[in-house]
Amino acid sequence: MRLINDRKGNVRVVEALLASLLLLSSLTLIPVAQKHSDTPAETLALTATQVLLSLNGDGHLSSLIDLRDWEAIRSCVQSCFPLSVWFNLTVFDENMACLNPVSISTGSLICENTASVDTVIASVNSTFSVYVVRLQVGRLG
Amino acid sequence: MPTASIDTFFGCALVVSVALLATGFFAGTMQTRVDSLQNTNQNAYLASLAEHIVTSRGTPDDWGSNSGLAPSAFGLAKNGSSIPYEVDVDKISRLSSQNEYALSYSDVSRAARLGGIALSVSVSPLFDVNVELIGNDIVGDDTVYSFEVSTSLASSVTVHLQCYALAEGFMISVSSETSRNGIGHVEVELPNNLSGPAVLVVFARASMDDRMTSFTVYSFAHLSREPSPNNTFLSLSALNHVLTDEAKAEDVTVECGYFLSYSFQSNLTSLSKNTYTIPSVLDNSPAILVVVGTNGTTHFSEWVSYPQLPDHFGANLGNSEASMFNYVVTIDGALYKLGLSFGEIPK
Repeated sequence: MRLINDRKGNVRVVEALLASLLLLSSLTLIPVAQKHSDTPAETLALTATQVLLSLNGDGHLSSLIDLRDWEAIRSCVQSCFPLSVWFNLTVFDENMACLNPVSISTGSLICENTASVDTVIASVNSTFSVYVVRLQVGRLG
Repeated sequence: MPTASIDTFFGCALVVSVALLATGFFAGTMQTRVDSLQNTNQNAYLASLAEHIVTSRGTPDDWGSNSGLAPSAFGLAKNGSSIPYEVDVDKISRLSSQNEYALSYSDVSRAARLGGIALSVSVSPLFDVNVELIGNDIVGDDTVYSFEVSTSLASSVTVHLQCYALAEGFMISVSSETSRNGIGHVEVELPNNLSGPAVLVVFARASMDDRMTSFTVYSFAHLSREPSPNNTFLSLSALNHVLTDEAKAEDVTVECGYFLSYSFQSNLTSLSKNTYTIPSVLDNSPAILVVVGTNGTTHFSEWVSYPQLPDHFGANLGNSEASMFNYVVTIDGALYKLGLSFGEIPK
């Protein structure tokens, strides 16, 4: 009789362990809170928009697009960002056809925190060409 | 005590402890989420505040050029500008602690309605220019100084250099450009019948955009002892296209002044005993104003930029958590970096 009671006790311990495991495993279903980033995507987007507006303040950026001078555009944008910022710029015409045959960027994307902004700019020449400039930025590291 | 009771006790203890752990973990997770949401709201608020400071003109519109006036509302934008993110040369100059008419931090804090949020402002040219004296050689009646100039731009970018060397009342200008490795070489000749402190003013302009013009000033000794640091003999303030000098010693005598920019150079025209007119020129370049004089028998050359750039204005946020917002702004046709940093919002 005593042996039977001991076995019942063992079974209860096993039940309690199983219940504990069940509860612990349920904890893994709770999503991990997002880590607050030092440079949120909104701030990057704000900076990207501001840089495009400043660069085209006197129509200089649209002039470079008119000339299809992609290297000068890359240098201009690169000069406005610190080295820790990655960017990729794409120029579209009014039909959203990509105009730049070469990549205007600082290399491959190796960061998760990125933002993308689209800005419409008009050429200052007599044809008034309209361009859509898409600038993707990310903070490295 | 029967074995079954002990088993039940341990079982219950296990379940309760797990439940407590789960509750604690869940509470921690929720607290982190709430904090994250608060951070997002704080960041959005501070971003709006920064945008307002950069894009609004403040009240009155001309508080920058009116030296006797402190603004009732703080904004740095240029009055009547059609260029996005163009800020006023005089509003920036009044943030420099070297300027006689500089605003105090309490003036700015009150006018910007910061409500206890710490603010720090910095303005600098879009890229850095570094000068190194690499040698000098006496050739006939002159001494030839060789300088190496580099910039923080990518080495693939060609940078045009416009340099001015000044010693006593003598000035010479030299042009050059950086090579493929991003380094430029400049040689200037100064006559040996002069001796004293000399300055080399270097303007660097990126080939792809003439608004990207930066500068640096390098002081060196020409057949004399090492020059004193800038602002030793004079306090120079540039505001509203007027340069004011204030002597820091009794024996200081100002001989002449020069206006230098990338494309232009001229002598400064005296308005009164210690004020000079700063000319307005169509050149997308910062201006450097050099004043030459003597302190007793010692010559000096001191300088100030226009806009008079504040290295750092406001609170020191070096060791605390801060939200930073960086802008590329236009000042008198040239591009500059403007940084606004805010401390934490008081709880």
